[in-house]
Amino acid sequence: MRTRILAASLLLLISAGWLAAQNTANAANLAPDRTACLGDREAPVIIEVFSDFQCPSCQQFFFGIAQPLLREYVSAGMVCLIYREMPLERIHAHARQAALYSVAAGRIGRWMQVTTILYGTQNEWSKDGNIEAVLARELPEDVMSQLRRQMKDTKVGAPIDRDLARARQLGVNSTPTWFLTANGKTERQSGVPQYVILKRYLDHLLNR
Amino acid sequence: MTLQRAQLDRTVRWIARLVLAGVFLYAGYSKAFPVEHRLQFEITLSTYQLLPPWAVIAVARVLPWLEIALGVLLLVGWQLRYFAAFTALLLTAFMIAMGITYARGIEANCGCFGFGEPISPQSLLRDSAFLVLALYLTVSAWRTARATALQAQPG
Repeated sequence: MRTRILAASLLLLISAGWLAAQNTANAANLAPDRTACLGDREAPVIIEVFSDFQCPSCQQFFFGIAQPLLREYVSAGMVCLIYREMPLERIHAHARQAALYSVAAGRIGRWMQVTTILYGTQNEWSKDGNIEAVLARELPEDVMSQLRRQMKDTKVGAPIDRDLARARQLGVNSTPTWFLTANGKTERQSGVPQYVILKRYLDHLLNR
Repeated sequence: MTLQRAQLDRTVRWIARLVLAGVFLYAGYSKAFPVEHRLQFEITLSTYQLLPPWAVIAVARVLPWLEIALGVLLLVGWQLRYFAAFTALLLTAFMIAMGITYARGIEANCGCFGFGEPISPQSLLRDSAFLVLALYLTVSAWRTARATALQAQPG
């Protein structure tokens, strides 16, 4: 009886180890391309975030995680941050429109400013979808004119469609979902962690 | 209890012990090794938005080893009624935490076995099945212990 128990435990432990290794090995195939990096493309850590402008957790993620990350790790060349647009149009009617403004803003070098405004005023424009009015109030007139011009381009939605295709490829169906790649391995997480906890992991990976 | 029912109960108890032992051994191992997994588990725990950072770190340090120890104890069957009851309590605590997080509409990974599995009706159902097994094991172990104690009484 004891021999059977010991044999069963050993088998279980070996299987557990093999299964755990499989999870990590499979995740390694998901590493993103670095061309869309905010920050240094050669940074040792990549964080790829799938986000929806109308999602309250994504708002939390942007202000609570992305902004401190940009200040502390991206600016120091330690982390490459990639933001992917993933408007969940079935539940967020105005998310795609907000994403279009974000992409348009990126074309004129105003991605951070417009993204910050959109997340910061989410409660306001989510109700009636009047995003342009909110942006017009917050941005200088010349910037707003450039933005409107970009919005007329029919191809402004193409990056969003590419991001949505990548989300489907990775099996992402909720936001915020984010992937952290370091040392050749990619790990998937959902939701908004506490920044101090994420810092612990990043500092461990970066040997700080 | 008839002989047939007693044998059936013994068989189901064995299966429950093996399944729960395997589940907890794998769950604990996947979080404890390598050290990056423990830190990733901290991240997963913190996305539940239920505990302050110091408690997240403490739980992430202790829980994987607790799960491994429980797995071994269930497998060996030592003091089964107590550890089966503790297993049921632990699983209940997991279900409550996951249920609250899901009900609040908070996106979070389960953190049950490795990472990348979001809290969903499927993960809640699966963990409910484990809880049912643990409850059966607890009741069965207590009944067996009681029956053994009665048989041992003189007269």
